[in-house]
Amino acid sequence: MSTIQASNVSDGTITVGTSYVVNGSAKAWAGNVNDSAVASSSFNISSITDTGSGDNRLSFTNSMSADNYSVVHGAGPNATAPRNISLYDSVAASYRLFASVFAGSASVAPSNSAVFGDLA
Amino acid sequence: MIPHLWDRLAEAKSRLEPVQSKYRVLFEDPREPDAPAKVLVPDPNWMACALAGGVLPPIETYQRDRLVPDGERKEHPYAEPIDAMTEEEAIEYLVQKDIDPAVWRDYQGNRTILKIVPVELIPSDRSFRNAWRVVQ
Repeated sequence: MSTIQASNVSDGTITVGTSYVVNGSAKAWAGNVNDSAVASSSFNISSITDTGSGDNRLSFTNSMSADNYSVVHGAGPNATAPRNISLYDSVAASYRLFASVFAGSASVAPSNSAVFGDLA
Repeated sequence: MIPHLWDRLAEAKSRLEPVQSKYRVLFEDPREPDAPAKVLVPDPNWMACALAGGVLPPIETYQRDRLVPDGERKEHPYAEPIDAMTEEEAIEYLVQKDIDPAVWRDYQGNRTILKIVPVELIPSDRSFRNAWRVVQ
């Protein structure tokens, strides 16, 4: 495997430190997670726990440094109707997503999420 | 120098085929007596790393890191990776990593609250999902 070692990346006009590129990348993601807690693709996820209808907890293999990371999330592309995906109960080692209809009750909808922030 | 765990995971994802586990972990949390049974599903990329070896840290590092306050240096990303596990060993590792010790270590009641079961034993009909309990 070859390794590129550089402290900056430049297009000839703008130069940024490679640390911005590395630190700005998603640290984990899970794509199209269904109600049975199965993802179609993922990275840095050790398990998904089906904790109830529409409710899943996703655990990191490499934890985040604290619980103040950012999770970008939304309903999956094969949801059959508009759905809310809510983030809650996030800790350094895991986070939880809950799918619901707009009235608030639990619903079945696949979720997508990507995690940004500092790793442990 | 040992590469960071996240770097090892990225390298492993480019090299290893995901492995779908044939097991699920069914458990109840004694701190939530009214909550339905939970089902832990191993991630296929994680399982591939566990079976291949040389990627994941020792389980003891995660257990010690539970006591480390947020923001302070954790041990598991920097630990020497362990050798390959069997699928059964990997499931036991995952139970200790992703399920609270109140379930798998500290519970002293009479109910069976944790079972490792084949995928086929998890009901496919989810009509009454929030009423699921571990069969005694």
